[in-house]
Amino acid sequence: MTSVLIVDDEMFIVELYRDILQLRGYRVMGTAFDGEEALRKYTKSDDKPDVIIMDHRMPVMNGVDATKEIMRLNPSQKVIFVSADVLVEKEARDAGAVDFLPKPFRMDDLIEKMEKISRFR
Amino acid sequence: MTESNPNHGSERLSAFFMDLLSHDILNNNQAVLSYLELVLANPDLDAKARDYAEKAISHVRTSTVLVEHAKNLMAARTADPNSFRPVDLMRSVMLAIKELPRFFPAREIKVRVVQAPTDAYVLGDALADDLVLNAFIDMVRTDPGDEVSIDVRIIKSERGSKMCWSLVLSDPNAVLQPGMKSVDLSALLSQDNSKMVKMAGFLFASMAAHLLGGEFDAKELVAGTGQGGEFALTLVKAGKP
Repeated sequence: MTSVLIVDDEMFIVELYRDILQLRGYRVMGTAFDGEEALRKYTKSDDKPDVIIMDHRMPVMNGVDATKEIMRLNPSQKVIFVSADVLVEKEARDAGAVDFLPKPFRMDDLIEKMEKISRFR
Repeated sequence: MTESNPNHGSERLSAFFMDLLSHDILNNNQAVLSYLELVLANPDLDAKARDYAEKAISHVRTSTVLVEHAKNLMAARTADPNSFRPVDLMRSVMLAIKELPRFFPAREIKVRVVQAPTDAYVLGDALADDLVLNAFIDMVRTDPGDEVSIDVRIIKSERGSKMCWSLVLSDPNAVLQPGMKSVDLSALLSQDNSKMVKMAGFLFASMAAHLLGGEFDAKELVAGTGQGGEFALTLVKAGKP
């Protein structure tokens, strides 16, 4: 079962992703409300997620910076960037994100990208 | 630090609020859209409820486009016209045709490309793609029927001394509101909001076209009858890149 870490500062968005991903058979192994919390949880855990769903605009540490740090720790980590800021796509990809989805997106589009990653795991 | 020009301060403040507001609207649209998709995924959903959910999705998508368009307009206000590049108008049309059903899942939309030269390049930037999509969305929104037929033509035109390309969309069943046929952009800001045309998308299209050195016009297919509508997006011709 593909495991996911959800990182977004909006509680309702975290709940939304969790509801839908669990319904579709994914294991939501954790959530974080900012980049720093995500980095802390990622570093502490021995069980690394297969995929991280990463927002950009968050307090304390934004998504691009968090992605850079996570990729430094584990260059093969798969991060799917999701953001309402379309202008940040290049920065996100440069930081190491494998894909980018501008909000709002169809959940099927996210699932499709997750499945693609799962197949090549 | 004090602002030397108070207009710059207020403009920056507007941009700041626009940015915050749009970010939160898009996040909320994400939630509405995804929960509606969950509702629609239920195979036992009755036809009426499915219809309502699809209509709701259509409105969420339209609100997203309006937000994006307002953001892009804000950015375009400070864009340097020298930075405009050739944009393949037909490519923008094909992108818009592909995107259109996502905005109106409950409606059957037929688009017929009647005239499409291969060398129709116009001067623009990312705003040009948005503009073309917006023109299609506005066209569909003016048609009250569940089945919509739009004809597309790209024709050569002139605007003052400038050679242009015009993207013309026509729909025999469109119904144009009176205010859509003549938009005086310079008068907009001093106008009483309560008298403005209801379609913000149409106004954005007019303003965005103006920023790219072009124009966006609407007229009835048969003058004076109120029947049918034609939108023409005219942008300055560019050489093939």
